[in-house]
Amino acid sequence: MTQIPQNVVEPPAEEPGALARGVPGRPLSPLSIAWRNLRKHRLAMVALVVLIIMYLAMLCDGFVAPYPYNAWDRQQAYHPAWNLHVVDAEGRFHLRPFVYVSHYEFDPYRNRIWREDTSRAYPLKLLVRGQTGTMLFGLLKTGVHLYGVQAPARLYLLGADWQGRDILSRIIFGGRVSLTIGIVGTAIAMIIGMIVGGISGYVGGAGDTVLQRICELIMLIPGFYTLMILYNTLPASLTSMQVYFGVVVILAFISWASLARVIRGMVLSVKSSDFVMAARAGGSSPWRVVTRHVLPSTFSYAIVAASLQIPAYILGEAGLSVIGMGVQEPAPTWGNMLQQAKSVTEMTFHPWLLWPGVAIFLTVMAFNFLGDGLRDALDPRTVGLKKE
Amino acid sequence: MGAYIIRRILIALGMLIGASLLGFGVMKLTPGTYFDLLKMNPRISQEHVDQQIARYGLNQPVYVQYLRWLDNLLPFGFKPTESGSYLWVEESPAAGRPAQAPPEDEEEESPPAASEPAEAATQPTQPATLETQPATQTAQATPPAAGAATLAASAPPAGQPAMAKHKFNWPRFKWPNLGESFEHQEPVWDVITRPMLNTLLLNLVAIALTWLVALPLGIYAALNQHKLGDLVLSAISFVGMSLPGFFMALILLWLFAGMSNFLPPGGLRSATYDQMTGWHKLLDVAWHLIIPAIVLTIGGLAGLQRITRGNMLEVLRQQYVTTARAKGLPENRVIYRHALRNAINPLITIFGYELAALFSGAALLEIVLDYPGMGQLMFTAIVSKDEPLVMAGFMLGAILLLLGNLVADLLLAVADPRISYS
Repeated sequence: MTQIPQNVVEPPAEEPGALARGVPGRPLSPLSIAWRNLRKHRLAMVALVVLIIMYLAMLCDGFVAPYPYNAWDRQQAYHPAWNLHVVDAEGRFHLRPFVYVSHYEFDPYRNRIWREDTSRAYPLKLLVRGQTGTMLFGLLKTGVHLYGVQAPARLYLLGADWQGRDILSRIIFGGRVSLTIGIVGTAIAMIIGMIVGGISGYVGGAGDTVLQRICELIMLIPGFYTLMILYNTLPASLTSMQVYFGVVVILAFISWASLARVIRGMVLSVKSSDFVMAARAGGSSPWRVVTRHVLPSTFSYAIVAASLQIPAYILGEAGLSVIGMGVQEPAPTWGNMLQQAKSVTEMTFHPWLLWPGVAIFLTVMAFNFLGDGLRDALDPRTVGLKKE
Repeated sequence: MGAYIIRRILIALGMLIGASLLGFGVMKLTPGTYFDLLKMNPRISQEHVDQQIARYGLNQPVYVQYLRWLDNLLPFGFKPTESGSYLWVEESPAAGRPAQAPPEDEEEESPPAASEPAEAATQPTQPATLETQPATQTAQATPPAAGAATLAASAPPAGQPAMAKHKFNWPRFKWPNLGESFEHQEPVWDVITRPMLNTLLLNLVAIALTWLVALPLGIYAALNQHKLGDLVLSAISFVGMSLPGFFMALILLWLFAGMSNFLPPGGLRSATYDQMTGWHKLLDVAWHLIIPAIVLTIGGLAGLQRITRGNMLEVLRQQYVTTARAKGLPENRVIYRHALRNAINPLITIFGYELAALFSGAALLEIVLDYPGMGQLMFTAIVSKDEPLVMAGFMLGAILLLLGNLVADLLLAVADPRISYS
């Protein structure tokens, strides 16, 4: 990006040296060149680290989250955010943060008044045993949590929803849907896009025309309406896992066409290049030429295009969930958690319900930065050159 | 250019038919129909629901339903004649003036039809045009349910005189008809006019705001490249690009409608709107527009500002700018006369794409903010499976997308002499 002006001149000077510094007689592989370029992109690296942390937390969700996503407690409904203290009721400072057991009463206007029982403090502990949750997409069970407090007290770093479920835990578990949907969806769209774009570009002729018309058709239909209509075709009896895949397929259906068109363009330009000619002259079958020579050379672009598409999937899923079309309660997604915050009264009295939106925002921003960095790093024209 | 436009429009018509097939097909994949809920309601008689289903032709095969919908939409149609033939009119005094024919039909044949509505409903044979007749021309005279009845009645009677002079039945102009909404029980066009205008209002305001703000900011950022202002602006752009519109809307609602009563909590009008007078009505609407317009503006601003900046920087590096400077022109003149014009040209295409998103772009935001626009309408229509309404919104969205793309391409050709379509 534009933050470091002195880099404008630096990389071209470095480029020959970079090649020379590799193993003698063996130039750096395209991947390692891309990686070196990416590392220069400071914001993209920050984004990458943030994303890695998020995905790790998502994979180990049952361990990282203090509670399972469905651990409800009606006595703690709408518990406000952040009940950690470091100063106790007598005004003494404690190095180790602690929580009090709290309960609510209604004032005459039916507002919740929260009172804390200050007689006993429950210190925050690491590796605490608590309710059994699952991790690694439900493959593993864990009763131990990275942090937490002893049982009668509950830790609410980001508050609780109407069932007294911990919002932070639900955000972490919600990553199972919201963080994977982009990758799974892009993978599906990319496979379709590669097949259609590859055939269309390489074979050409009538098939090309038909496929291109289909792509145009898909790009023509108004996206969000189509999402809603398609969602409505899912039967109501599906499990949340099935709904998840339904939503992924729907989102991929909307977005494969633009990928296919781009790949077709790349295939067309690669088709007439010398190495493809050589492969054909060498007697390779068309299938082999396409899969071994043509498509791989479109990979770098496809990866960039895909990484730039991931935010659209996350936003699409969240958008559908916010209006109640998506994976349903009690399974959390960032979108269906936000759905609870949709009314003005809810968000006025319980603004912590808006936290899942921050998670969406951070993820989308991280993917945007990463995609931006990848585009600069993988684009052969800008390798070693700063993009303006 | 003209030939190009005509070709594009022809392709567009084909695409629209494809889009309608797709939309209709997907709608039909949806399990159940609008009337399933009515059927389950014990307070509504089964016969009435069956009548409604027959009236809207939902008991017919899907392709017949589609053809019927398409036929309603076409701006011309064949009028059925007494003999039931679409293509040929008999040369007889009665059929000589076909425009008057349907009322006569109805006088003669509605009594038997009304006595046997159930049989009429089960007759799946006659597609298309027949149904439009009662709806458009004899609507005042007949109760709506008789529409299906006349369909049966106008099937060829048995004792037809064997020979008569025949004349080709030319298609006649008729107004395109989007059908009738199941839920609202009135023509789709009447249902969607209001929401369409509301959506149009919101989007036009947002587009105007976006351009008014984004262009100066983009120019400013380009002229102050790598300085503090530029960095702040690009940071804001990235935030604006990544912040989902609906979430921004929720945050603004929370801040300005929840925490303080500064702005209204969604919608387009206050409850007291009808008691207001002229100026106050206008102010009330403007008041309600603030949050959705700001959200849309910030969403569009990010991209447009970045592109303006990029274009401007590119142009400023061109040789003619150097030449202009070398000539000793004042910097203002160089920037605003030489550079700016060329930097803005490519942006004209974006305008076309914004046109494309005019109806369907803000759908989610409208739903979240309870804004009475197309998005909101489509949402309820899709959930309740009100097919004619959904198809209308879907097609309008597609038409605007096509139109927007066409306008974008044409504007580009107009703005950039290097591009020509011939």
